[in-house]
Amino acid sequence: MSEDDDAAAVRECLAGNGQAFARLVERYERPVYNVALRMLRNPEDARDVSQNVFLKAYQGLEQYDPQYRFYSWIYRIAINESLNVLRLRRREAGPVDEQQPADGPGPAESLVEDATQREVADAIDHLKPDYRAVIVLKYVAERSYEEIAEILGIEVKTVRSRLFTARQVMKDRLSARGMLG
Amino acid sequence: MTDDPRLLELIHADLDGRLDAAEKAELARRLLADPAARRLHDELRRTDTLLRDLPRAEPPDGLRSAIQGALGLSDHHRGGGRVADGGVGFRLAAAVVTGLVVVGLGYGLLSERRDTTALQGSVAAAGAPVATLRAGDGKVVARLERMGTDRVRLMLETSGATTGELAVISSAQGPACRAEGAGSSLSTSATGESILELSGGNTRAALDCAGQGQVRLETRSDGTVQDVATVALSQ
Repeated sequence: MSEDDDAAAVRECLAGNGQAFARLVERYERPVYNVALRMLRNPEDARDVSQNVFLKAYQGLEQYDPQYRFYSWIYRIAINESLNVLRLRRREAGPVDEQQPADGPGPAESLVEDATQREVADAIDHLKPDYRAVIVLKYVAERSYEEIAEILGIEVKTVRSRLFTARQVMKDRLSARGMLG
Repeated sequence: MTDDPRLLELIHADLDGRLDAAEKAELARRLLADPAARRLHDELRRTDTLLRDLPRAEPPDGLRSAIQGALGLSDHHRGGGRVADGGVGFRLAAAVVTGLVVVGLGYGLLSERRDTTALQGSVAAAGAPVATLRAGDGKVVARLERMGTDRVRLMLETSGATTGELAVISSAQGPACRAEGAGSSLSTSATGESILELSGGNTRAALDCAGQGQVRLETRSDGTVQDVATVALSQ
């Protein structure tokens, strides 16, 4: 399924064939779930976010601007929903040390990770949410700078700056833990 | 100098495959001349590789069908042409979903004011299809999912010390609710009120409500209503 297929599915859906949306669910269920899972590191929350992403997309399809790629739009919803969960977690947890992961979720039980991968996931958890979003879109969703900029609604130079900083922070943490030797 | 902005820019651009030939040559010269720069480059490359190698998860069983069920979409759509419901059908479905999200958000706002240790009503932060109930420890104990425009299902699973009552109340001549699983303490009154009483043990129960009208959920503790969510079903 290509970008053209996405656009066709959106058009069909808006023309009255709601079943066309099922093709979009089928295509994006896995990437959206993985983005939410890496943002939140909690399978239960990732599942809830994934469901809500598609409900909101369906609900807002008439407002979708076809000049943007459908996947940019759906990833944007996924990131925003995940950021909302992180904000809610922080509010519920109260003030926290900036150096600690503010979200405090458990490990992603649906992922089979070795020790190194858990360290990498921990390092992602320690990033501030805006930086985490860039890392997740770059490495989990495998998006380019330009696509990430479109998804997040920021300039490419901001994407580059956040990505550089995030990688640097992760490198420092992983190095301190002896993971880069 | 490893804090040289130009060096950092070249290294990160190299990781992302965005260097032209002249820049590649410039980076190579710098790395050759500076052992600290070489170490920085190696560590960032290793970080980049570890990130690329992160495993992907398979979505949980039932996620897709739950999404499609919530939207009233069939799972067997392949090869299907346009259906005859026209734009009205889509708008109606979208309106139903909008209502659910609004209910979910309102429910979440109500819940944020709560400070109880027993069963708590709170919509999942993401505003799951209809509502998610959490115990005081934050663990999800019940999930209310829309299975179509006229059907809603409550799945509840608890273990440990969760206490309280979850009442599912169907409007008069409204949707009929039927228990599908065995709850530890599930009763249905003649007035259409189904009560799941949680007394700290293990509970697994599912409740199906189908028809037209409203289904009201109440979480209670010691007889006091703590939280309320209302779901409208239509045929």
